[in-house]
Formats: sequence, structure tokens, C-alpha cells
Amino acid sequence: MEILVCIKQVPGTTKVEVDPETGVLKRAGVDSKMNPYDLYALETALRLKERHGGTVRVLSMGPPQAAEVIREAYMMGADDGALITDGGFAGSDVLATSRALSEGIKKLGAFDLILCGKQTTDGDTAQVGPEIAEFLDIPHVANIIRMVEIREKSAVVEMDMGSVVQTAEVSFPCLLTVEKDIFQPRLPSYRRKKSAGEREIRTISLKDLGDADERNYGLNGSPTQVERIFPPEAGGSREIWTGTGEELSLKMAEKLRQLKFI
Amino acid sequence: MIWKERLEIFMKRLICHQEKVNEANREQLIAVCPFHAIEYNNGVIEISAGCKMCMLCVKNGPEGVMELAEDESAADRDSWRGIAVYVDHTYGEIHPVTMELIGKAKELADTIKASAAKAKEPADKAKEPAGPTGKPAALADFPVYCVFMGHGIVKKAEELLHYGVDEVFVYDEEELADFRIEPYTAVFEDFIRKVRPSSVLVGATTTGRSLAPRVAARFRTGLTADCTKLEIKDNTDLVQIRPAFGGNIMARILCTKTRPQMATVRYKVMNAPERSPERNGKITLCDIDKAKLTSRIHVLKVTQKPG
Repeated sequence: MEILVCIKQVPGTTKVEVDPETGVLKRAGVDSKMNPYDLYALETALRLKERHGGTVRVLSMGPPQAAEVIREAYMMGADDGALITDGGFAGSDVLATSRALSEGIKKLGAFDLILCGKQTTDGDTAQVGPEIAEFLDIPHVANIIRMVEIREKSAVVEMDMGSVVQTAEVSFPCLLTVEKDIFQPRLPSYRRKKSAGEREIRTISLKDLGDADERNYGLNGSPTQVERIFPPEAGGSREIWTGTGEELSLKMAEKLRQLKFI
Repeated sequence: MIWKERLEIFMKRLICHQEKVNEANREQLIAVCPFHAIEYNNGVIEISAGCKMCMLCVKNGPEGVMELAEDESAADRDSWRGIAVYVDHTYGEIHPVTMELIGKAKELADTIKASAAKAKEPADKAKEPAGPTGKPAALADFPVYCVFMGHGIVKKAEELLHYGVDEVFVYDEEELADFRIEPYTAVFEDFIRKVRPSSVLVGATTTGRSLAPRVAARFRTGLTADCTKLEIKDNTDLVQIRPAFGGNIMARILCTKTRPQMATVRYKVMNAPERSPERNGKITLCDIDKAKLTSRIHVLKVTQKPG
């Protein structure tokens, strides 16, 4: 079984601030890590490989230093990895990113299964997985909470649909995005860690892609533009209430309903 | 990286007034670019991919030749009208986020209609006060649509008419009984091609978050996830505001080059309108070629979640 996992390097913290004067992002530090949700996708891939054989490859897109997350994937047991990196991809939105990743996937070969985490912790969109599937013209199922069974040419999965759970059989090739907690991710192995540094990481640049038209990537290929970033408004309103416990609890419940917290 | 400045620049575009280029200033123009991105090929000045948008050619090049223009490679705004809301449902049970989105869509459509009416006023007054001029202002017609796809849902679509929708497009097909991505995307595509809504709003439920990106990618258009605030400009550009970095910053996002503009919004962010006792608007039943409804997904069973 040929499995590909898409992974992303994200900032190690979400504690970023915007300078209200200049509107420029102040990044607290430069430390980064693998998107935590991707660990679940990678773990799923490794378990499938252990039971059914095959290979697990990883693909990422980002600046050259994003090779670090591929190394991290090697430490967990990935067989092979590639990084899509090129100045021409800078400023890509969801559409341009998904297009680049799908072209990169075509470049790597044919896969039975492509796995993605449910979303990233920096962009939070959960959109790249489904868009990759559209570019590759393969079915996708999002929010997988359980892998039920692998059949010869399909996977049986459970999808969370809010009030119900749908059990479905999806034909290969397909793309699945997995929920957090589908499996407990393993820790990197010490033995693999020692060899990961020397292992090769293939890099793919814009001109290597089947569709190498630079107008389709980066800022040019992005239909959405961030016009402005700004700090969120601080909620300054407060109310002081007095009364008996019963009165106050009723009032509190009413207020929470009004604010749509419950 | 100071990405704010960069992005502002990229919303603009460098243009060359070829008619102002002559033998005397051509070499000067080419030499002014530190990245050698200005080339003279076959009698025209071309800007290559080496351009870093440093603007030195505008500042220091021959006067009036290079100009920084607003990017108007923009969408064909006039032929895309109205706002569509995807009716989120589980086996016909309409999710309340749908009503909230209808409320927001009405608000946005009213803004457009009001600004169209205002734009029309002075023109009317300039002429004689002879009543309506016959032709309504271009955007006075900016409806709120719903698209509802599933099986056995025609009766349920009537409920939506209590919330002030202009038209509900219903696709009722056996193949749509279960939520499966390919037929649902195909129907959504069919609806957008027929109706051409300027904006499409989708609830950020598990199914909405799976379907909306697939549709956006099919139209090669923009999709903004989990908007907390939506506004609209007079030219129908949707201003999408959403948190990023776990809510530590807010971003204002536009999608000016393509249509439809798509956004997802979470449940309990917008306010649903009061349910009116009367029904307004109409239901339109739509047909779709069955060949478009095939899927490589088979639903084996559906179980109710406890609680």
C-alpha cells in the first residue's frame, strides 16, 4: 500500500502580536514544529503500513528550513520525504498551496492513500486537504475518527458528521483527513534520530512541477489577499451584579445564552 | 518579513506605457532595474519574473513610462449577482447555522441595494422629476438564494421561506441521500454555473468544511474559513474578517479577482432573523444529469451519536 502524508511546519507558539501602529506581525520567537494535527495523520499511516505493508512517504511545502519536519517524520518511521520549496510559492493562499501540493504529489508518483491532519494550528482553515483532492480528481472524506478496515481496493472509515457518524467505503486512490486522537502518535525513535540527519530529502521547485506556470502559484495564483491584519479588540465591557445565589445563577445563565456561549 | 507592505504592493500591478518608450529613454529604463527584470523584446518592453516590485523604475525611470496601477484584472463583477447560502443539513434536518447565514446574507444584500438606490438618486434628480427612469440601477437586483441538496427534502425547503429568502433551489435526488463529496460538489457546481451568485456562504460544520473547499477549488476561487465578521463593499467585494494564530491576530481578507467569493462561518457567530409567519420567496426544483452524480464512496451505515 502506497501512502503519502502531507505535513506542515508551523510556528511553535500561537502567541503572536500585531503592532497596532504599523500593522506588522511581531513574531515572538522563530522556533517551529510539525503541525500537531499532522502527527495523527502520520501515525495513522505508520500503523497501516505495519499491518498491511507498503511505504509511507511525506510531503511538505515551505521555506528550506521546513526540511526539519521531514526529518522529524523520518524519526517516527517515514520511508521517504520531499519538500516543495521555491521563492515563487511565497504568499500562497489555500488555493495556490493546494495546487502546488497536488502537482508535487503527481511528481512523486501514484498513491493509494493520501492522509492529512484535520487542519493546521497557524492557518486553522482545514481546507487544503479537500482542495488537493479536487485538484487530483480523487474522492476525499474529512474528519475521520476511525479506520475500520482496509480492503483490497478501498478503505472503510468512520466520519464524524456532527450529530451522526457515517461509515463509508472509499475506493483508492483517495484522500482522508483524520481527526485528532484517531491514534496516539508515537515518540521519535532514538535509533532513527541518529540516522535521520544524513538521510536525503528530495526538494521540488516550481520548475519541476508538471504545471510550471508561475502565475498559478504564490501571490499571483492566490485569489484571496490579506488586505490588513490587526489585533483583536479587547472586550472592555463588564457588569457587576448583586443578589441571592439563585437570582444570580439565573441571570448568569440568561447572559450566557444571550452571548451564545451556551 | 514585513509582509504587510509586500501584500499591499501586490494588490497593485506594474504597467508600462509602451507609447512613451522611445530610443532615447529605452536604455535608461532597462538600466534602472537592479534585478534586470526589464527587457526589450520584439519592440515591446516586458517585465520578467525577476521583478521584485521595488518600484525603482517608477521612481527613477523615465518619467511617466512605468506606473503602479490598482490591479483591475478583477472579476467580472456585474454578471455575478446576489448571495447564496448552502443549506446545511443531516438527512434533511436543517442545521440552524443556515438561518444565521440567511440573516447575514439579507443584511449584505440590503447594503448593496441601498447603495445602488443611493447612486441612482442624484442622476434622477438631475433629470426631471418624472418618476422611475425605466431601467433600475445595476445592483438594485441583489437576491438572497439558498441551495438545498438531498433526498426527500422538497417539503423541508418550505421552512426556509419563513426567513426571507428570495429563492430556494432544490436538488432532490436519490444519489444525494447521503452526504458524499463528489455528487454534492457536482450539484453545487451546477447551481453556481446556473445562478452565478456573487458570494456563497457555507456553515463551518463538519460537512460544510469538507464541501466548501472542494467547490472553491473547482472554480479556482478564494475561500475564507471561519469568518467572524462579514461586510460588503459597494462594488460587491466581500470583506471577510477572521482570526488567525489562535485568535491572536485578526485578518481582513478580500477576493477581488475571482467570483464567486466563498466564506465559511461557524455556528452561533451570526444572528438568525425572526421566523416570520408568512412565507416569502419561491422554491425552484432543479434537475441535474444523473451521470454527474456518481461517486467512489459507498455509505455502509449511519449511526446516531449518543447524547
